[in-house]
Amino acid sequence: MTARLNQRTLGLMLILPMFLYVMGMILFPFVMNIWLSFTNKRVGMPTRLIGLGNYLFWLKNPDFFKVLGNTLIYTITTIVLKFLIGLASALLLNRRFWGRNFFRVFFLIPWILPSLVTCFTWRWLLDDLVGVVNYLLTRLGLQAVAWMSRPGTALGSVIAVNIWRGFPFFGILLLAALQSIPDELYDAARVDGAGRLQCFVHVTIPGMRKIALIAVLLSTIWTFNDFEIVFLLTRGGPGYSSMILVPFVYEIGIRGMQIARAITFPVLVFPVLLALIFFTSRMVLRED
Amino acid sequence: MQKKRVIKVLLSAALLAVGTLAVATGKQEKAGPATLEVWLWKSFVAEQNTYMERQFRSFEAATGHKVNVSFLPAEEIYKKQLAAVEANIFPDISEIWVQNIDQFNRMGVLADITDTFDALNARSPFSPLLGTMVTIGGKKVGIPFNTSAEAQYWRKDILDNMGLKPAGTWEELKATAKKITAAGQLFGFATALGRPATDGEKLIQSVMWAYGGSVMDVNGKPAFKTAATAQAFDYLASLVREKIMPEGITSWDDGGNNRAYQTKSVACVQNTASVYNYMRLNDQDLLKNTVIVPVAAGPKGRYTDTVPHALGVSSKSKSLQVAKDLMKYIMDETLYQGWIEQAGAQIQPVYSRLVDKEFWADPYRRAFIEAGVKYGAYEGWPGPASAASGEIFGTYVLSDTIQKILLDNWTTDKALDWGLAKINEIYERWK
Repeated sequence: MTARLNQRTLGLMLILPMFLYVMGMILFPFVMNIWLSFTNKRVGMPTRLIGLGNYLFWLKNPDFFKVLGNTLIYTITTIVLKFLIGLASALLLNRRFWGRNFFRVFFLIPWILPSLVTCFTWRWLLDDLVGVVNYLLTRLGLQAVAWMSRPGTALGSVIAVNIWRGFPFFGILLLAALQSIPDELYDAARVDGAGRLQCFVHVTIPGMRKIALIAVLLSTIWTFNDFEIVFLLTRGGPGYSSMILVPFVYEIGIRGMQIARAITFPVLVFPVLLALIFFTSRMVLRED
Repeated sequence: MQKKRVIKVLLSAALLAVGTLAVATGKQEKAGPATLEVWLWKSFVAEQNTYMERQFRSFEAATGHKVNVSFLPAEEIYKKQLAAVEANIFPDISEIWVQNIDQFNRMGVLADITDTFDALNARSPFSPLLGTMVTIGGKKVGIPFNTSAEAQYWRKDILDNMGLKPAGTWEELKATAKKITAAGQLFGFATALGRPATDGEKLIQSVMWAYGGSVMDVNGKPAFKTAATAQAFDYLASLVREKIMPEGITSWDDGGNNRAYQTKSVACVQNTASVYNYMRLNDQDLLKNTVIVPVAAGPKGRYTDTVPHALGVSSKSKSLQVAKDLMKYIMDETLYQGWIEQAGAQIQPVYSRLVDKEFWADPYRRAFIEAGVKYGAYEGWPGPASAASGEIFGTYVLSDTIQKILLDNWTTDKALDWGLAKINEIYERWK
């Protein structure tokens, strides 16, 4: 009895640091944010409860829907394309060819580089006057494009940079998943007369499924909450054509000094992310 | 029984953690030499920052106090100051745009430093206009620190080859720039008109004031939507629509003008002396082919937004007297003049006596001191530099308004209505 009690107490003491961390660094700020969203809190000013005022402000504000729409386009497009390019890279790097090991390391470079370096490099590449991309276009007799200055191409530019930066993450996880599929499964399939496409559909995809879903879930959360690429490349401009959730919250809350109004936006959007995590987790944990 | 014990253990541990945190972060009187946190604007001119850093090291050597200085980019310093207010870690001394003085004073973060102002003013009088900008409720809550006037740079070689002259008015600028752009080698004129650039806000204000428009009236009330303002916005939009300015200006940051001129992509830019200093240090050939003139004039005069800066002391500084002593040290007229000269015309002096110094006789620098002394204005002009005018500048209302016209194809009328609604909302909040 005493031994069991001591064991239980030891167990509680060991999880205490994590408990304090969750309470202090996650739960408390989360609850605080929800409370602030019902106030008129501005930088340096006293707080007053205003009920649903901030929620009504955003639900009637076209900027909210524009930024939310941009965020969904940004997230869905980059995830799909990062997945496809990552899968193609993984399939290629899973084959035997000369220099394979070198390329396996080389293709990780976009993922390894600090975001600041990536963004400033791409800012230079896409510069409307002295950028490398426009230089090549004009040398080919084509017209230069103001990539980050047109509403139509600004969002596309930040999406392209996100894909360039993020596809190695999918590639490396999917490569690991490919390598964990036993060769015997392919042999068995071929014995049963399966062709390459059938092997891919019935052996490769099921074998990669769980890891692919985890990669999609993690990348979706990170991409949905992306800040650096948009902030450093376009600041969400021109207008709000490339503005997404987190840089927008930063702008409203810090530069605009409207903390409560800024916090309300992610609180409104939080159920969407929660649903995504819930459904993806269920798919990952579901018994075959 | 066991459950009760578990709850007791957890509660005790939580209380212990909270208590330790409270003691660690609680206010404690500093014994011995003070350590001051100082935030200053990071100039494009490295020598300006280096000189000021040396001043702080000299102060340290003379007094035994320590000075931790951070040089922050113009685009970032204001946001960091706001975050510091909310986190209750406002630095002991900070460089503040004068239009934000009122904001920070209302937030209760600025100390009354009337004694320091009076002491410095007695030694060498400040510009009277700048003195009023740091006065709130009869108290001085800031020390004027510098102004940063803009001028227009023209490629003399391009103008000479085409038989043209530097423009004196905005209409002449458009005509001259149009001819240069049409020649096909480079753009005639360019300045940032985008969200990440304060340069855009300054250009729009220069043009607005020149046409007789303004954000606020002489009493500090919104006066944005007028025929004069509409004329100014139509003018700016035409520079982009007629392809006189490059399309990319809507995404340029505050380095965009510099890059464009330094890479010889445009024939004229409007900027502070940062471009001059780059050429002085790195490209003498380009400097020889450049003429610097005051900002173009409009029907109602010639104006440049000088964005005056002041130094403020935190009302919660644990070393208030040391902070005041440091300000008196670096604002000593002789040391201050040395700093101004190291800045290479990037900033202009706040002491009336220093504007006639030999340093400003140089033909390249003269345009900047003239701009500051004769044509200088600030956010909120012709009214006071208020909290509302500060927020309007800080949230790019003017740049967003012009972008509604350029990118969303709104009419000028509709865009000005939108801008006025934003301005009114900000004004009402600070009223």
